[in-house]
Amino acid sequence: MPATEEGSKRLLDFFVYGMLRAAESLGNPPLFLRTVAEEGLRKFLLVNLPTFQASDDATEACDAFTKAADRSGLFDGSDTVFRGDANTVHAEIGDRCPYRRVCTVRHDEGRPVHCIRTYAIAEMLRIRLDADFDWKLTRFGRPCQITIQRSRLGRT
Amino acid sequence: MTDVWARLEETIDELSHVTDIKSAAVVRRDGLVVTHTLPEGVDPKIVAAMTAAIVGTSEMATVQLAQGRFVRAIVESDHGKLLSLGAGDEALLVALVYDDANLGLVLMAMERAAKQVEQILQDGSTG
Repeated sequence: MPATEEGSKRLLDFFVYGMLRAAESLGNPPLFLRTVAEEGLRKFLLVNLPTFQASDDATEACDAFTKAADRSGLFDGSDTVFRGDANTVHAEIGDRCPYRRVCTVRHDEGRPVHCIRTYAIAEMLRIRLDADFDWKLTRFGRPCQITIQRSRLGRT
Repeated sequence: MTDVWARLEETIDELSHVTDIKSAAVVRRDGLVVTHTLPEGVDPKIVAAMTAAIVGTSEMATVQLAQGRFVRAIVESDHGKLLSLGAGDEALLVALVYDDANLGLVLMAMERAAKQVEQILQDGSTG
């Protein structure tokens, strides 16, 4: 394990950057990243957030999930804000996002920014609300702005 | 049931009745199932993810090899063929066909269905 918090962050940056490049080289980053989020999240929800109960309202579910992840020590969610309703969520993610450094590097390189946080949130919604959600990073910056919507391709 | 989903289901149901096609599915490009007529014992989630992977990798291969635009992927095996192609920006169409299928007819039907799916999705996003 890295000796310092900064070392842990660098290790995370290293793995996430490599994962994103691998996802692109395989030709379908959304599939790759969604699958990583899904596989990791099922275990994470069971082991680390056993008491987390998602509301049927997507905005409330996103808020509750972020607060639960924050409490579990995964990341600092205090500068993450969700507004919206049961079907549409407008999220703002601030400077404390653990992936910000990698996203900034990719943005500066002119590569697409794939929001790992939102992949995880969309998968959480799919797992817990049994509904598909589409999302879009509408602005990369401080804060990042993301819109998450119940998919029109879904059955319900 | 959403209108878009119902229209997609109708399209895929119609495609599945084409001679030589065993079953078919519309999947999202990120590997989630939209609707399908796959038989019992076949996991639609795995088919959707594999289709998205096959198409994504094939598209990347055509780009890297400077072969122009990706058209379709055909996977041939002992007991049949798996055909997949794009259906607009968001979706893919996949069909399982018999090993002795008339591919010309099947592909014509699939291309027609893919255009229908694309149109349904466009109507759904504007309406």
